[in-house]
Amino acid sequence: MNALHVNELLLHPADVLRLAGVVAALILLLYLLKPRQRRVEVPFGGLWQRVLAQKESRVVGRNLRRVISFFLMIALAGLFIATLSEPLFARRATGPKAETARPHTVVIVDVSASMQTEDGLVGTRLAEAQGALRRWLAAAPPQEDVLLMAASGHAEVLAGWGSDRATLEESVTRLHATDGGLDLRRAMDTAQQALAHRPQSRIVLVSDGGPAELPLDVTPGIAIEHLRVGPSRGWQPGQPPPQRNLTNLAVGELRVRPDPQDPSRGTLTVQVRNDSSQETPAQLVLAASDTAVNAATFAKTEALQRVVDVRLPPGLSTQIVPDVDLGAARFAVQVRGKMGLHDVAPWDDWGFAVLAERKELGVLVVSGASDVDATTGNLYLAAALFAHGKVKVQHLAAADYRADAFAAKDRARHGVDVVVLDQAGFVLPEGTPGLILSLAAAPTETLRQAEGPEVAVRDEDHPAMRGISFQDTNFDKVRLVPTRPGDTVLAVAKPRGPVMVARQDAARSLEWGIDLLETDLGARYALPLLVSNALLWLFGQEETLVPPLLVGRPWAVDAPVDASWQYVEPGQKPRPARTSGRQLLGQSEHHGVHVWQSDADRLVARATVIAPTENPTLLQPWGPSAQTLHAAQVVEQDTFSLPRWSLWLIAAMLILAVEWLTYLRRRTV
Amino acid sequence: MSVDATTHHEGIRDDLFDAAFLGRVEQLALLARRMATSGTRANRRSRIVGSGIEFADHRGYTPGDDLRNVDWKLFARTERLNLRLYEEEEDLSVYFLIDRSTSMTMAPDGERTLLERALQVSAALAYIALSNLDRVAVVPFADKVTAPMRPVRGRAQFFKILRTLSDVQPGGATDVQASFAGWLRTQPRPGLAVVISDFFDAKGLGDALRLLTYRGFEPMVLQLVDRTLLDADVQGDLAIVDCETGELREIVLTPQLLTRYRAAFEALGHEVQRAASEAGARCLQVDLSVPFDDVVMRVFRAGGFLG
Repeated sequence: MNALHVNELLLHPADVLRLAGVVAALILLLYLLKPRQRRVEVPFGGLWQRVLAQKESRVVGRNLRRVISFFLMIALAGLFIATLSEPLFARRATGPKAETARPHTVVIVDVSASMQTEDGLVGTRLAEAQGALRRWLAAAPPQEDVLLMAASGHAEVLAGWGSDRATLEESVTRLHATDGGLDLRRAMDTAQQALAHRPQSRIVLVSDGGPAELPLDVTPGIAIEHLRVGPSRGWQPGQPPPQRNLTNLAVGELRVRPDPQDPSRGTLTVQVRNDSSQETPAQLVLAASDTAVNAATFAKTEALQRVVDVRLPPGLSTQIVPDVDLGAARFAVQVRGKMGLHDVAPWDDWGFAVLAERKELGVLVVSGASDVDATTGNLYLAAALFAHGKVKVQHLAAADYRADAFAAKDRARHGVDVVVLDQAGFVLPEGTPGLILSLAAAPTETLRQAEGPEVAVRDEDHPAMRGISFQDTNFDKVRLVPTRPGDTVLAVAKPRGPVMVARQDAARSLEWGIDLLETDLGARYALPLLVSNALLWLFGQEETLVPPLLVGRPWAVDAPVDASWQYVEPGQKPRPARTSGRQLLGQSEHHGVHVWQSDADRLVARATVIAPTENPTLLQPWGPSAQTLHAAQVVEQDTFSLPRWSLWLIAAMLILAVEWLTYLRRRTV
Repeated sequence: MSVDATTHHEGIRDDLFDAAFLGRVEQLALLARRMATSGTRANRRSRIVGSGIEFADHRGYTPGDDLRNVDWKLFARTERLNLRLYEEEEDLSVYFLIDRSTSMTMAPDGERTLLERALQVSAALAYIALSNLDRVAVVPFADKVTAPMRPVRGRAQFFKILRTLSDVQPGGATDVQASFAGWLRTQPRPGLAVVISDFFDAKGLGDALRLLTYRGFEPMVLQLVDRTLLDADVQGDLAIVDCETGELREIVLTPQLLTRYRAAFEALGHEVQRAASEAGARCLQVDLSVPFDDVVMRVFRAGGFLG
């Protein structure tokens, strides 16, 4: 059983634990208050004996209850024992399984004459091989069975199957180079015979040869690894592949920029990385679709839009594809090497982008604020609307506003899609979507305000709140918005009540009990996103609001927590991965591929980064071969996961509660 | 002679046998005397067949029998020698076999216990018996008879009876059969045995009564019950402890269970009545709430006591 994630629970884990604590305290209290058996002296116990003999022989249910109660108590005790002994329990449980599935590795060490060559400060290649082998042994899983073989003209087993590292290291020390050549095929045959019928088998070849020297007729199911020593060390991501016919092409950022003159056409900017050491001919395959969500669906022919031949210089380059038809909302670009090139990391060949709806929304801002110019209204709001970029804003003073003039039947005439009432009264035009920002109460409403409240998002899944957090945002004053049945509370001022409410009557409306002059929300990135979300939702375009994976926020993939993970980044040394619960976190924005590796596993996740100045400012993870990236569910300030034992404890408490209820029933029946 | 109700007598429990009690006893004796057929001499027919004047039965002659008792008229008719047997009239011995076991002391705080009620009833009946020139003895028992008094005769001995009753110490578990068997080994003179108890005896009453009748006693059973113990409002998990044996049993007392207990209690009363009936004894079940003088009158009305 793995630890629970935050989003797997209905409540926040801290709330769950608090609740569990209260329940536990209550149960404990009830248990302590459980009346003890009273002693009653009776004149003739024999009479009771007769009565009970009659009763017990007749009432099977009572006996059954006792049996059930007994087993419940046994279960309770068992759960507690399981809770206390969980580490031991888990270890023992996995022991035999690990035994049957333990990996088997044959290490073939090249001890041919070429290994006597001295390449530099490290000494001979054999000495370098010995060092690499020791490091490999240190990193290998302790339960892994290893057979060490020295190969030259013939194959010699230096250490038989075993996992004792001391014995293996001693055997490594005894390695010495011969004067003969290397008969690798014979060594491979011997190794494959040794691995016959053994699970999780692999062969590790330590030699100064290259991968092309490996024999091709390897038994299926046997993995081959090559620890290369000598001048060439094999390919690392971000470095040129050693062979001329190998390369790695990757799509970094993909941007779609509409043409200001003709929004139906645009320019595609693709950042491509070429890991080879030379200019490489390639193709950019452009696909566009309104429905495709991953590489598989984009790869369909109907999504294919254009293939562009490019020559990619080594390293990062920016390719511009002009005059792209922006009729579809979603775009994908795949970089393909030309014929004869083999891409060693095909998972990072795709880049994706989502184009927001280009229609300009007509927004009527009615401002009632007296301390700002009525024509510009609230400057924070104006800035947020400006940041949205797809709105045409009209301003109107509160005194000139008549709600019926912008009702559904007339608003098209005025070019108004959404009405924003900023401190300007509470009556929205009938049938017209609207956003109300106000600290003042409606005529029919009793004003309830909170001073300096802590405002928190209540409904993170609501389209209007996606990606929004009020953490560290200060509110001097908020109005508590009265709610009606059917309203959705988006944000609350703890512990008083709702401050943001979404309604869906004849038209959608949002009511925020805030004045942007009474909070520093306006100075934060959340406001333009909040306003953008609100407008899109009010106008019914929330489907373009894909789940947020925001630039600069940690991303994560799920991973087994019992492994030691390292984050691998091209051109840099692997570094310990940042983890949170059972998540691996990544925050790099330099490329679209994230790679983590452990001793036994490798995880690849990808996301295409689109700069926040481009719309949409959202990221979408795609790619069939990659893990799904998702927004990190736990940020560092709020790291939390339920320990496994807490589940046992909660189960035990539930059983205790059942036992208590059973007891109460026994007492009262 | 009448009971001197004004004088304090050493060794007599004032809480049981106070002046009012003694006065009431005197009245009861007068009532009993009216109901009796004779006042000077014990005239209760004994079942001892002997030399009385009232014919009882015949039996075959055996050598050594007194020829004066041969029924010659019968011999003339049947040519067989038979003796005439007469019921012997004699002084009656009345034994009050009082259960002093712990269960007889169970009572709510401040209330009379069954034992105290038994002592009062015994005292009243004893006075009446003494007034009737019968011999009276008090025999307390629990699992055995302790300190049985020798039968006394005459009203002057009433205070001795009271002192004996006052000395009865409660305690022990009830074993009627063992008690009676042990007592009968002391060869008491057969007579009326008034057994006063709650009869909370796991062994039952039948064997004990049959033992008495076998030894020539005429048993009379007076079962005292305290129904207030049935009206307890306690419920839930209980550890019930037998006050006599200390045996503990855990129960969950529910209204249904209490109803069953009441039914079992009534069944126990029926068992006692059936045992008494089988032994030819009169049986009277009296609740503790009934005043002692009413109990005495019920005894008389039921018949069998000096009647």
